[in-house]
Amino acid sequence: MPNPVVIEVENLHRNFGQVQAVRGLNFSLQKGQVAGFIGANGSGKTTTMRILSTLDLPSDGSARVAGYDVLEHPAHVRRILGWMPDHFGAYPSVDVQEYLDFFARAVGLRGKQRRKRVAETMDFTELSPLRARPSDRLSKGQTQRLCLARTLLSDPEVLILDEPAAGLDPKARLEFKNLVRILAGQGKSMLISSHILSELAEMCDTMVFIDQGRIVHHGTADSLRFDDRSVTSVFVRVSGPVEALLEWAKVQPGLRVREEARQGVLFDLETRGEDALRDLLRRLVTDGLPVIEFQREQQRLEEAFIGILRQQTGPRNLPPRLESRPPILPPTAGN
Amino acid sequence: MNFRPSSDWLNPMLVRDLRQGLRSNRFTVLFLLLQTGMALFVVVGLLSASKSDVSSAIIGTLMAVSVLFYLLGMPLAATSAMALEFRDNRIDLLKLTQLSARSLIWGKWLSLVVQGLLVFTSLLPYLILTYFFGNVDIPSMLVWIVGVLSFNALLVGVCVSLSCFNSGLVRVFLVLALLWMVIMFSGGVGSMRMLAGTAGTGLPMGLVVALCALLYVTAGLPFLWLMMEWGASALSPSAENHDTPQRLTLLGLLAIAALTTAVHLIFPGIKIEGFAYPFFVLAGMLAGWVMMFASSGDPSPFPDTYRPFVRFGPAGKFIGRLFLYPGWPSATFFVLLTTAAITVLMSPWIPSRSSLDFGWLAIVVFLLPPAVLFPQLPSWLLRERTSFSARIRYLIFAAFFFLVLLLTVSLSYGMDTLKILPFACIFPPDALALFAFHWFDIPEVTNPKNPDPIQVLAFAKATAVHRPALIIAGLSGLATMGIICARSLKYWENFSKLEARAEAALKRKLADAAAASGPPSPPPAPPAGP
Repeated sequence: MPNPVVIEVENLHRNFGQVQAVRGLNFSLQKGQVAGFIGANGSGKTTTMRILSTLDLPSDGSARVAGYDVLEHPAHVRRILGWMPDHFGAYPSVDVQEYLDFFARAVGLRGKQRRKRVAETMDFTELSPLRARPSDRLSKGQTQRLCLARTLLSDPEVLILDEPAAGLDPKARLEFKNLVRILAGQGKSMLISSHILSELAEMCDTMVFIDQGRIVHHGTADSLRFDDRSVTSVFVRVSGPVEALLEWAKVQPGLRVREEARQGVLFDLETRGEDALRDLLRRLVTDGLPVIEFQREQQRLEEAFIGILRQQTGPRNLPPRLESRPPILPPTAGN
Repeated sequence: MNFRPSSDWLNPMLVRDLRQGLRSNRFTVLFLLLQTGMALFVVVGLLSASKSDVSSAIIGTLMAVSVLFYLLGMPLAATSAMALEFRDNRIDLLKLTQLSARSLIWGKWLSLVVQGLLVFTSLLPYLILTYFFGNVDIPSMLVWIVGVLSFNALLVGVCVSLSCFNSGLVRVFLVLALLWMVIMFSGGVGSMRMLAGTAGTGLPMGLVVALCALLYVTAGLPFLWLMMEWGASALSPSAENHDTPQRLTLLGLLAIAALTTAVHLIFPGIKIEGFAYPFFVLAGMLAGWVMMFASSGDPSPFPDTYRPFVRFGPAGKFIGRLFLYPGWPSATFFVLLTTAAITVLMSPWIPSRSSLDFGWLAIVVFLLPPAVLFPQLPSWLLRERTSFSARIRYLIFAAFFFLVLLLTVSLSYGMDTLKILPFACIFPPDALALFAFHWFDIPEVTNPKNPDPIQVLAFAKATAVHRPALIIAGLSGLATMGIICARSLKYWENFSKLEARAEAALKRKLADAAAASGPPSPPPAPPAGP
């Protein structure tokens, strides 16, 4: 039996005057899943997350959290959802413990239960040593941990984290990633937006790529790396001279040499899928080539994402900065 | 200062704001300055030969400081209460807690009022000392203290509620609209004629003044509540209904006014004017405010909003559609109902039956409904062409319209009415109102008891020049009202659908309650994801 759906977005639209920030989004998230929500600035991520958090209203369509419509039952949604914004202001003259104590009261925790929960969240986010520090005098990483601690006070079923790792140094980012992993291990459902795709790929079960208010890809990181390319790239190395391999490749259908590298050859295989790879390896071995390395080349997620955008919108619609960049891989010399 | 109240029943907003406020540099500096100043006065008093002079000086200084601090400084500070939460990006975090918008705003208000009271408490010893210096009128001082603190609470409430509107432009419009309402409806407040009537009861004047002040404070509570409710509506999710409670509050005030009117009519010997007057003034002022709020809102698209009305069957639905459902469709008839009620209730109280009193009444009757409803029209017509929400659009038109009205009405008093009137025809409802006022103004130029036929004739002749234009303007004003009423009635189709959904939800809930085997009102079963 599949896990119940905790986030469900159907044909969601949000217009700000003439600007269509979100255009017909459809996606869902099952209980216990961690989903990455990826897109450029202004692509509609934060707007969608704000609608899910009952902080904004859709122009059309619906959004449900644990079955509750965000418009009709905002109070129910707020009880089961934790929202961590990309940026928030702390309170001057209020220390870390008092800050959390205030929000613990505000989410309805009372007496010993409140004090226990505040202590637990401070321990979990490693804020206990900073309990007496004014909340507006924390580093960026500490502030993010404080915000996460606040989000966790009510022990929410669903977490929506908007750019949680933005502006963090590598150490703080690693710490934050570990916290997210632990929360995922506890069965929390999470929707996390970020610009750093590689990090999200490690944390997320599924990824939703969004551009100009529309979903351009929905699936795992691997599905983006491998499935959405028109060709499959394979690196092959043989013992001995490379020329034999190049000669062999000339007569192989659907195979072209992209470049020679690392004492081997990088091929583009026009047929996609694992069967084609198996077949290529079988042919290499059958034809007596001494293969010592055979590796499918992965695209970097960023490249894959840009590739998808290029496919969907055409090069004219891509930001000029991206188009003016040199190609990620040198063009094929011809075969 | 380390203030750690641990009581769970305290409003969290109050706890946090007090912690923050009492530690702020602003509070500390103010507190120390006040204490130093007062201590200096006391030392001078103890060393001085004429202690009563020093006592007067201390009291005078305290009064000046309290006016500056409580009636100016604190309200000004309160205007940033919620605005700071917006500016510092904290408001979303607050909204997502289980604190209702009401708790947030009342907590803010209470923390400011408590801080003010703490400052006052610290000044009490000096006030007590002045008693020993002599030359102190204790009742007057008490009335002063209660008056200042009460007015402070009211002003702080108004300012906190205004601070809930993120846009500075909207706040300016709201202040203008509030000013206009106060000017329009408190025409007779300054005269205190009805209060003067209470002096005939034989009670000491000091007690009468204290009682009247208390009455005004009591009558101010609903005003504070309404203002706070208005502010809360800006913070709460759109599914929350803040419109109907405000309308019910106004109807409650009108019910009290009706009760006093009934007593006045049935028992003319009872001097009830002093009690009735604050409620009338308040109901008059709040009427405009509530009407504006009601007329500017969109109807709720959420069936849950209609559930309380549907419970009462066809009667509940009918009353809801006509007067109480949130949004402009029912506001149209609510405006007409409340205006009619105010008119009927006010007329027995007009003591002199003079044309001036009736003139003001005419302004209320003819000016209020079109003035409140008219901004709906341009707002509706420009719906697709502006990016503003309905409420902001309405407020912009209303503020502009009210300013024009204020200008024309004041000009018509200060200059030749006949020359001003044609310019007022730009806005049909405005012209309608002025036409009505003008009509009642005719006997004012003559002696009503012994009218001079030549004067009346001359006036009528002069007026006749503009009469066709005024009549056309008046009729177009009525037509405007007709269009708005028709548009409101047309919306009843949507109400029917929403009521049907509310009824279905109510039946489901009742069935769940009857089953009573599981948790009530489960969420709708989520369909499987794609």
